[in-house]
Amino acid sequence: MILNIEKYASKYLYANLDTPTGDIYYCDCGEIFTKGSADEEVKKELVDAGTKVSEMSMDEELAAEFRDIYKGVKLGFEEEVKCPKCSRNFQSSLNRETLIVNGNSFISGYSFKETDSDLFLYYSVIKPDLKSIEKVDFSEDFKYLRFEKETKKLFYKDLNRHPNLTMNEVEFDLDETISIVDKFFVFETTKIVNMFDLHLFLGRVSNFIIDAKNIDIIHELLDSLQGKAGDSGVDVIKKIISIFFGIIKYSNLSTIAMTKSSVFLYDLMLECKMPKPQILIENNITSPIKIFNFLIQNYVNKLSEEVNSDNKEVHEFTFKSKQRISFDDNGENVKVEKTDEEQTVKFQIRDANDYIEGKVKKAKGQYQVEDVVEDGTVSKFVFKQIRNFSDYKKIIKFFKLVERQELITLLQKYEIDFLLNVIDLIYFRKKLQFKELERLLDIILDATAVKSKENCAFLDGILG
Amino acid sequence: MNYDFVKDFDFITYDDTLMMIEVLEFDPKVQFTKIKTWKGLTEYHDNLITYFSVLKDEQKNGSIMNFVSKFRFLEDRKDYDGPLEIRLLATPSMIINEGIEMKHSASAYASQVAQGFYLMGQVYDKSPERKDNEPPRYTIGFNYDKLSGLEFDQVKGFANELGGAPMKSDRFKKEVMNWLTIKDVSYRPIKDLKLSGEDMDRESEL
Repeated sequence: MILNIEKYASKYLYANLDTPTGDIYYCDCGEIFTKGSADEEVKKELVDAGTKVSEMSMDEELAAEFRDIYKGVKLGFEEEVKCPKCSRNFQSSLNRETLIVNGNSFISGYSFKETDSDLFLYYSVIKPDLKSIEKVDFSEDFKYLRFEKETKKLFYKDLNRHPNLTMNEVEFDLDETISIVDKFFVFETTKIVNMFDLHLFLGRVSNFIIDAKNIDIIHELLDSLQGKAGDSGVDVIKKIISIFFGIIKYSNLSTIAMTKSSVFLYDLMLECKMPKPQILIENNITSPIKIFNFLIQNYVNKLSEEVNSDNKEVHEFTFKSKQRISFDDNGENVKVEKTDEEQTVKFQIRDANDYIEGKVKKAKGQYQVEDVVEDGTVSKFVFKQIRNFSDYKKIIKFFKLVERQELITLLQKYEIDFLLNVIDLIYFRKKLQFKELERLLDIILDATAVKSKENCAFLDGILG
Repeated sequence: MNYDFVKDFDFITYDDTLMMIEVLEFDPKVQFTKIKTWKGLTEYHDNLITYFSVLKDEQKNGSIMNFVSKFRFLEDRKDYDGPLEIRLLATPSMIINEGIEMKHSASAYASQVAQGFYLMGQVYDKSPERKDNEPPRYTIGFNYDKLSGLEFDQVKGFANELGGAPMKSDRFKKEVMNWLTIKDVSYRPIKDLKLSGEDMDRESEL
C-alpha cells in the first residue's frame, strides 16, 4: 500500500454483512465474531433493494450511502451485537459511526514519493476488503500527479473508481493544468490524513522552478495556512501547485508572479483559458504585460459573447411597429401611416447559465462596450495599478464609460479602491462626457469623505 | 477614508437637480458644472427647490406632461384585455419617486423624459398565474425618437432584481411582448425580454 494507515485503521470497527455464514464483525480488540442474520423476510427485502441500487447506478457514492443505511437497519434489527471478548457494544451510536462496512471508502490521504527520475504526489483512498475471517485487509485505489525531473513533463493518473475500469496515466500541459490539479484535489472521504506530504511535494517541486526564491509565495499564500482547520489549507496548496506547474510548463509566467503576485498569476490562470506553451512561444509572449494582455483576450472574448447577446445592433426586431413615417425633401415628418404587413413574433430562448456579472447595458446612442470587448488590453500603467484579477475585471468596466487614456487619467487622479467601489455605482447610468464624469466622481468622493468623517465622529476626543 | 460609503451616495439629489435645471431652463454651465463638493451640490439643489416651488404645477410638469400625453394610448385597455396594467410616469416627482420606491436608477432618466427622448411607466402584473415569488409591479422604459417612434428599452423590478430581490419570469416577459405587439411598440429579443427557458431569470440593472 502506498498510504500507511496502520495507526488509523485500529481506530475503526469493521463488518462484512450477509455472508453465507452470517454477519461478521471485526472488533478493534482483534476479536472477530459472527452474528445470525436479521429476520429472513426483512433481510431479503433489504438485499433486493441493495441489488436494485447497484443495478440502477454505477455511482460508488450512492452505493456506499446505501451500504451505510443498510448497516444502520441491520444493527437496529439485531437483538445484540457485542464483542464477546471486550464487550464493545457495536449498536451504540458512537460505535455505529466508526463501524465501516466492507467496501466503503473511509479514509484517504496524500503520499509523496521520489525516485531518481520522478516526483510523485499520490492521493490514496482506502476501503476494507473483508475476505478473510482472521484479519482485516484493506484495498487501495489512488490517483497521482507525476513530475518527470529530467524532461519537466507532467502526468496525471485518475482513480480507477470501478473495478472494470482501469485509468491510465496521461500527460498534461499548461492548458490543462488548472483542471487537472482541480481534479486531483477532489476528496473522496471526510477523513484525510498525511497532509504533511503535500508540503514535502511542494518543497521538492519548488527546486525545479526558475525564480522560485523570488516569488513571494511564502508570505502571500503559505502564511495563510497557519491555524487553518477543516481542509487544512488544501485550497492554498492547490493554488501553489497550479502556479508551480504553470511556471514549469511556461517559465515566463514567473514574471507575472514576481512583478504582481503569485495570487495574481493563479487568478489569471483560473479566469483565462490557458493556451499550450507553444502558442505563447510562437507569439513571442514573454514580458508580464504581454502575457497578461494575451491571456485576457480569452476572458474578454467570453465577455464579448455575452455582451453581444444584448447588443441591439446584432439583433433584429422581434416585433417592429407597423407605423411608417414618410418625410419630405427637407427631412421633416409629413405623414404617418399604418401598413398591413403581417408581423411574426418569435420567442427566443437562451441559456442563462453563462451570465457574467456586470454585463453591459445599452443606452440610446451610447453603446461603448463593443470597443471594450474587442480590445480589453491594458497599458503598462493600468497593469501596474491592478493588484489582482478581480481589480482588472472591475477596471475594464470603465471602458464602457471612458476611453483608454481617460482611464489612465482616472487612475492617476483617484485611488484605485475608490474607482473599484464607484464603478458599480455608475456602471448602469447613462454615459457622461469625461469632464462631467470627473466632476461627478469628485462629488461622490467628497460625499464619501463626509460620511466617513461622520462615522468616525465618535472617536473625537478619544484619539487626541 | 472608508470607501465602503461610496455605495451610499445619494444620486437622487444629483438627478433631481438635473431635472429641475431642465424644467427651469437654467444653463448648467453657469453654476451646476462648477460644483465639485457634496455640500455645494446639496446647497445648489436646495436653492433650486426654492425656485421650483414657486412655479405653477403646469410650469413644473409641463414639458414632461406634454410629452407623456402623446402616449396615453399605452394605458388604454380598449384594445388590450391582458393581465398587465400600465400607468405612465407623467411628472418629475413621479419619476423621482419611482426610483426611490423601486430602489433603482429611474430618476437618472428624468432629464431625458423632460427632453422628450425617454418614456417611463409602471407595470402592474395582475395575472392570476403570478407566483408568490414574482414581483407584482415593475418599471418600464421606452426610447423615443421622431423617426422610429417608440421602442421598448427595459422593464425592471424592485432593486433591479439583484441581491435576492424577486425576478421576472418567462411568463411575465411573454405578457410584456404580447402587450407591446398589441400596442404597436417595437422590441427586440434582448435584455429584459430574453427568455431564459427557465422559471426565473437574472438580468442587468436599470
